[in-house]
Amino acid sequence: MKYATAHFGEVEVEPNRIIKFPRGLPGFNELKEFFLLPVPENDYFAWLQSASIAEVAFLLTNPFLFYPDYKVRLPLAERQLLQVKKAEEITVHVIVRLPSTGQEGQITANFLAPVVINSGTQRGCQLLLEDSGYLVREPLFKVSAGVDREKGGR
Amino acid sequence: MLVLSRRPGESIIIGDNVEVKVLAWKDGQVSLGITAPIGLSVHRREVYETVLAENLAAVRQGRVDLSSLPKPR
Repeated sequence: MKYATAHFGEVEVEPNRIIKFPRGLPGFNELKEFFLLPVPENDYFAWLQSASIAEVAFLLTNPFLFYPDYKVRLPLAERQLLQVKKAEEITVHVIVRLPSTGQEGQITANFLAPVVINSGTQRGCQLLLEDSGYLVREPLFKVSAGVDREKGGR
Repeated sequence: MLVLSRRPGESIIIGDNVEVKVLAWKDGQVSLGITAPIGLSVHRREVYETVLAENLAAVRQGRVDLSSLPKPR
């Protein structure tokens, strides 16, 4: 099936690549279907593209590349929601935010609310890590250097 | 707004399958136990709104030049 996308025009997506988000995402509760599109220039990043609204696409990356000690605990309700059977089928992503064009600023990512996807069942959700101390705007590259971060904390 | 008085151990039911139980009340804080279907998410309001605002901002960033994105070391 063909889908209009925010960054690549119309693309063909096989039905088995559609990821169901039964709860949507905060602010986008009615959007229940997404698919992943690789970023051609940089394979550390990918787009999470809404299947129903072309303009809605989130830039994702793998948080563990930047912060190996990042901890995500998937509560029972979300394990049921994603129909988790094998832990190795779970992938964790964070939504990246870039500084506006022409403006200085850091690239940040939302470590408070990672996107968790079960690649086995193609179901996903955005997890809110309440009480974790993680921020919605963690500097992506500062995190990598481990600056301003207490060891073992967070 | 509907206002109901409840004591610790008592609960309210919303619709058929959402239950909010008052577990304890101590030092000006109320502990609530919430039972809801897995399709419903339950969050502290301020945390949810922070994430919602960040999601909206992340989508609104418009066209971005990804060729200049740094790579993790």
